This record gives sequence, structure tokens and C-alpha cells, in this order.
Amino acid sequence: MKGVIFTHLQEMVETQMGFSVWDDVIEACELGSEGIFVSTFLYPDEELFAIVGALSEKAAIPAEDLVEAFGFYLFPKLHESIPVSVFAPGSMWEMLDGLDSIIHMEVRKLDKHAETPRITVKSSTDNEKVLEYRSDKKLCRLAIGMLKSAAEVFHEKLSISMPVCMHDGHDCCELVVTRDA
Amino acid sequence: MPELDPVRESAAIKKALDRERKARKLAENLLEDRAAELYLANQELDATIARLKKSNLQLLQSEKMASVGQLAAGVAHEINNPVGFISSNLGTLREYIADLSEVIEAQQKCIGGVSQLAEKALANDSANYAELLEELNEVLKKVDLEFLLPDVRDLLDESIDGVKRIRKIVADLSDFSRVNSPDYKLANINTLLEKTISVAWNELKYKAEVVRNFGQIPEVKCNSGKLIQVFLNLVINASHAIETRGLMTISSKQQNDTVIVSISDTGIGIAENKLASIFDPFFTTKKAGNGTGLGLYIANSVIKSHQGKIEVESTLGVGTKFNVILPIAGPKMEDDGENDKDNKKTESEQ
Repeated sequence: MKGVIFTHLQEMVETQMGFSVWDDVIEACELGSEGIFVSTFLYPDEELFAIVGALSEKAAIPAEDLVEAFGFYLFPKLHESIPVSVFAPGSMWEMLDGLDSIIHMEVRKLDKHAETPRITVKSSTDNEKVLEYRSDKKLCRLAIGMLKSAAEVFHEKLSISMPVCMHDGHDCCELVVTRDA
Repeated sequence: MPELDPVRESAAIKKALDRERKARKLAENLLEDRAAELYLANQELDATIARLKKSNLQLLQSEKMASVGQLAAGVAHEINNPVGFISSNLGTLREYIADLSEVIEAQQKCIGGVSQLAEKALANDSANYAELLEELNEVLKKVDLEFLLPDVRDLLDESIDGVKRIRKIVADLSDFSRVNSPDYKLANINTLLEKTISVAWNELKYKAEVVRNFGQIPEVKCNSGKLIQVFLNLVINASHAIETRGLMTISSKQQNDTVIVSISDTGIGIAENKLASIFDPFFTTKKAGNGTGLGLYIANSVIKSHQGKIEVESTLGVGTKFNVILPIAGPKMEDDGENDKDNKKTESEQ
């Protein structure tokens, strides 16, 4: 996992929960990195899962909800970091269409170590898109948090559901994004 | 979330700051490593660019020598012809010299005899004089000086012409084969076209009637060695395009601030779908071994370096016409400098 994910998580916890909360979590996890994160370095996925687990316990928030909240926090940060010259979608729908073929492809071009999930559009109408999410990390709730955050960025009112999930033994998750009337 | 303890929060901030410093150090180390890698990669890239520039010039020279190779048999024939008659003339001249020696000997003998008679005061002995003159006349009759002396002049004139022809062919050929000088100098394009025709003559004379439509054109600032290579390539291509016998028209004219050289043939023509590729490297319609596929690519780059252009019009079964458009003033200064710099470097390397 790229360090940038850890640094954003750290920033979210420190600003929204307090420095002592982040410090307690780092101390509790006994991480190989000692909690020293550089955005361009790579760190084991297990460190992220350990931090989320310890945070969930400490804050008494279910881990999935924490991950979704982090996705919500993360989207604007990553959105800002994509150069306009690469992709500047004008709408949520446009962004979803170019998510895998443009954004993730460009991220991988810029950073060969980036491990982006595969999110493809399974079906699409004017008001509904069904996205298939595939990732060994199974961070589908992170994707949901990011989609909700994206809706705010693009001033759209959307409902997002996940009728099929990898955590229930499926090959992939299905995220249904519906435009509210 | 429970209320935060300010003392614990402050201690945590200090620890966070410490972690940030360590992270920054790691990031700085990475930056330094990357900068060093980048510097080395850049050096490698510079060396590669230098090698590429050198190979490009070597390629240019190899292509030129390949066309010399194609012309070699023809040039040898062109040289062989005068060498043949010069050799025959020299043989005849040797015989003439032998005859002339005989005449000179007879004359000397005659003069010697007359002197002796005079010394012996036998000057009035006409019988002896008659005998001496008779011997001389016999030799003169045999040698036929009346025919021999003008023929000696003819043979010498013809041989001198032959030697001049050889010298011209060899000079044109060595002009062409020489490693290109980097300089852009004023040159008469019509003279360059004449040199081109001279070098390729044996290739052309059996394939085409060559028509020259050379106009009154000003001198052009150009690299004449490279331009001859371009013209030669176009002329040889035109000759190869003619299957049995045809017409090749080579013309020059001034148009505004450019000189346009046109080389057209009545050959097989180029298919429309291939016209776009003819300037691509390694593109050739000739059989393997008959062309490197670099000729037009190099011609195009040479003309581009003059800030001119090559245009082509072709109709299958009718023929092809190449127009080479050259700015009279030569390439603009900045390009000039770039070319000079590259070529000088290579010259010193060679």
C-alpha cells in the first residue's frame, strides 16, 4: 500500500480525533514502519488493517464504517492531486466512465507501484450505473466512501448500494449508483 | 469521542513531530538517491544521443557509398572506354616513334656523309651526294611522314581528351564519395546537376533519353556534397523506374526566393497507397539487395536540413516527378549553426 494512503489516514485521525489517538494506535500496533510514513514509499497492507483495527477498537466504531469515513475524507485529496491535463471530468457520470480506463491507468503510468482496484462499469443508464469492484484488499467500503464524497464534489444527489459483496464470498462487489430524482 | 487530555495531546504532538522529521529524512534520502540516479541516467542519455548522431552520419555515408557501389560497374565502363583508346593510341605512337627514330638516324647519317664529303673536298662528287640522298629518301618514303606527323597530333589530342574525361569522372566520383563537408556555400545547382548526370551517365544512357531544361538560376547557399547525393538518388531511382527505355527530364528554375529542381521520368510510377511511405526509413519497392530503403529517407532529411522540401507526383504507368525546393538563401542561421556543430564534431571524430 502506498504511503500516501497512510499519511492521509494519519492526517484525518490527527485532525478529527486528536494526536493522542493516532499516537496510541501507532504504539498499540507495533508497526514495522514505527508509524513513520512517507507518501511515496510502499508499506505492507497489514499495517493499514492493523491501524484500522486498533482505531476501531479505541474509538468504538465498526471497522467498515471507519474505512468508509476514510474513503469520504480521501476522495477530495486524491481528486486534487490528479493533474487537469490527465483527466478533468465535468460530472460524476463522466468520472465513473473514465475511472478505470483513464484515472487508474494514468495512476499506474505515473507510479508503477500503485495497486489500484479494478472498477468497471457493468451497466449504465442515464440514472443508474452498476460498477464492479475487484481488489485483493477488499476495500469496497473505501470505494463507497469515495463515491459518496465524489457526489458532493460534483454536486450530485446519489444513492449508493452494494447488493453483492466480496466479503460474502462473491468474486467481486457490485456498487449500484443511482441518481436521486 | 471522549474529551482529549491536553497534556497527553501535547506529548502526542511532540511524538508526531518526531515521526514527521524521521519521515522527512527518509524522503530526503530518497530524493538524493533519485537525483543521483537521474544524473547518471541523464549522462547515459547524453552518450546515447551522441552515439546516435554519429551513427546517423555514418548511415548517411554508408548509403552514399552504397549508391557508389551501384554505380561502380557503370563508372568502370566509362573509365575503361577512354583507357582502351588511350592504350591503343600509345601503342601506335610507340610504332611511330620507332619510325621517326629511323628517319632521324637516316638524316643524321646523311648529314654526317655530306660533312665528310665536304671535308674531303669532294663536294662536286654528285654521285656520292645522290647515293646519300637516295638512302634518306628511301627511309622517308617508307615512313610516310606526311601521314605520320598529323596522326601523331590527332592521337595525342584524342588521348589528352580521354585523360580529361577520366579525370572528370574520377573527380566527380571522388567529390561525391568524400565525407560531406559541413559547410553551406554558394553553389550553382545546374553544375551540381551536370556532375550528377556525369557520375550516373552509364546507368542512364541505356535507359533514358536525358533532357536538360536548366533555367537561369542564382547560386544557392547549400551543402553541395549532400545535394549531389540527393540528386543522384533521385536520378538513379528514376532510371530504375524505367523498365526498358524512356525519357528523363531534369529541370531547374527560380520561383520567388527558391530554386526548384524537378526530376521526372516516364517509368512505372508509384501506387497512391505507397506515396505516403516513400520517405520512411527502410521502405523500398525494389527487390532485396537492390536498395537499402534509406535513399529517399536520407534525401528528405538532407533537404529538410536545408529548410527546403521534396514533393512527389506520380501516376501508375505514366511516371513520377520529384520537385526539390531549396531556399536560395540557405537554411536560417540557428539551423546552420546546429548542423555545423554536429558535422564538425563528427569530422574530428573521424
